[in-house]
Amino acid sequence: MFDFATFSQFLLSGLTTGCIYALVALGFVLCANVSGVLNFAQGEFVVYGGLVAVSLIGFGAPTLLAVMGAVFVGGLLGLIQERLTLEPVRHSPAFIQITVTLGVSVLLRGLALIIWGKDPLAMPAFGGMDGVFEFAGAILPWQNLWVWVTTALLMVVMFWFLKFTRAGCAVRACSINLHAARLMGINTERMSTLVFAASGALGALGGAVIAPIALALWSSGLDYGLKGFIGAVIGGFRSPGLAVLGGLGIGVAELMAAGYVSSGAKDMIVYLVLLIYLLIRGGVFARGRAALLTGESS
Amino acid sequence: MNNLKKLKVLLSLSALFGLLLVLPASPTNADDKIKIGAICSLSGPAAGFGKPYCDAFKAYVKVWNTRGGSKGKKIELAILDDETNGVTAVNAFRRHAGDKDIDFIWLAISSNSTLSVKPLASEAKIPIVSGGAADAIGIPADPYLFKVAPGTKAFGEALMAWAQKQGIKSIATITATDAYGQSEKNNIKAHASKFGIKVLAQETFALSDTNFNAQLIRIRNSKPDLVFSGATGGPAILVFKQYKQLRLSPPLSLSQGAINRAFFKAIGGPKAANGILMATNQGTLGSEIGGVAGQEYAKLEKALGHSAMIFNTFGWDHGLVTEWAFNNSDGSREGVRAALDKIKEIEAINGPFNYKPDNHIGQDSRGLRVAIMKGGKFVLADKLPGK
Repeated sequence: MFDFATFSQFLLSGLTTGCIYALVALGFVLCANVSGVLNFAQGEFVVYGGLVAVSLIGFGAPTLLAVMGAVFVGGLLGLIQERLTLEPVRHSPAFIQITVTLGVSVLLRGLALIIWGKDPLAMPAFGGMDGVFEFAGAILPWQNLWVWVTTALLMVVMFWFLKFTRAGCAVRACSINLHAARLMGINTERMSTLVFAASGALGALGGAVIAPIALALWSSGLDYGLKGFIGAVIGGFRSPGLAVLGGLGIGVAELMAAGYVSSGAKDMIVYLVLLIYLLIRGGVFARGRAALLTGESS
Repeated sequence: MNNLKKLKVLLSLSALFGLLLVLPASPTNADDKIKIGAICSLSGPAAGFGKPYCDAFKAYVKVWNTRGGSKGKKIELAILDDETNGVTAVNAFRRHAGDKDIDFIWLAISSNSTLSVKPLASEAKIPIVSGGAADAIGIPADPYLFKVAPGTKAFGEALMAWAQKQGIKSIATITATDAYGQSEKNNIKAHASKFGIKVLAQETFALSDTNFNAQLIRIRNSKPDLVFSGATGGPAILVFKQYKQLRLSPPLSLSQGAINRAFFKAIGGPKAANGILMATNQGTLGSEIGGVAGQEYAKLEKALGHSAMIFNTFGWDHGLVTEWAFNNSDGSREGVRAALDKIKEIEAINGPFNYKPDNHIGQDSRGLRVAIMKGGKFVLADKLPGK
């Protein structure tokens, strides 16, 4: 028999995790569209956000300052990654650039382990709101509200940035046609650095807000990165909005799968959804074949 | 006379030659020390118990050496980290086993990693004492691999026996999808049936999961009298926290693999875990134990310089059986191995050790108790929380 409280619990809890996947997916899409690179270090920015925020709070910093510090570190990591590891291989084949991002991911994981150790680190809920609230039959920690509000605000800011600012228009121009953007006088290298820094900051912010719920742990980046990547794929890797929806959808899908099918089948179902989506998008029902992509941004 | 002299010389030379031929086949550390190669999970999800194990290894070796070592030989410890990774564990094992100066190996790694090493034990011909909860480590018995931590079957048995006495009629479980988790799941199911307790739900999770709402809601909806969580590391902390947030009412029993300093730090201190149940080795109960076990526990705490956790006590027990084996053998790898196989009723913190050629688990349910967290400390549980 359908139980609305149970459904609510799965939906709303899944949305919370999905918010983090959405931020990672957004980072993937921004980087891929402007620079042509799939940045597999995206998940590690989430990890660093959580770990830096926990550390700063441990040093006595107020929560807001700790989160800002985490965002700054995430942005800095993204910027350093782009400048030091991707700029030198900008004209190399795509698979080399992707491999470089995988290497950065492994490096960041190792560094996180060395700096913070192997134990998961707990972070107090924002505003000291450690308790729970009830909504539509679901029981949720107050921190969930922080995650939802932060993600929603970020989406609004991102929309405003891309739509109404010069830099945002330049980013969109790069994603439409990199060569044309260059010809129009847009400094595409600077745009690439900007989106990497932005995606690092986004991921880190996600890590800081989810840490009171999910802990901060050096090894979590792989899971966030993978699920965020799936969200970006489902979003078509074109539209930031669709990428966000994709990430949210993955978060909800995995909770629904675990809740209504089987906890053991959770990941299987998520990847099955991805497989079916790719088969349909990839042309199982299409006629003819698409031309092989050369790896250039277009 | 000359012929007799020649014969004597020939015989002496033959004996010397024979000795040179024999010696390499039975590698022993000919130096004045015994070298133990330890492999511990000092990073990764299993580090929560690997590190305390390793701390106890170091403490035991230090105390062993203050007693003069074994038959005058000092004990040296070489430690490698398996990073909670089966491949790294195997590589570390090969490194230690291939080192002719190493006489013995201690493993303080996850059951998964130990089971990766097990097929190599007889190939390397070096005696190994291992922690790890999975019964498969000790049965079927590999001649060179001996287990010190109790098997999951004994814990499940102890918990279900206690639950039956408390009038529990049904149980639900949440365990990981790895070998350890599946072993816990199957064990609880088997013993629940034996004690007439119905299993209403058996939920699972991946080690990387952070959201357990779905599993816990399914458990809540099944309405069990008792819930058992086999989670360790980060999942243990999150299962506990989300269990409380979702206001699940049945008493919660944790796996003792969950209980360590990192767990208490993350949940806000031991008092936040008041009411938690745990089937555990009597080593958890510290000074409450009494007897030889209590005396060894006191020695462990003194050597560590702080209160001991359960995994410290396992590490100490490693030392106890190892020292006994070296003291009751010729010190060669094969000699020590054979001595281990003969161990009968050797007292340790977590119950007496007995090894048989077909059973290298070591400890049984005589060393187990069900404890409850009260006032930030585990004490013997004489009744269900809230009753």
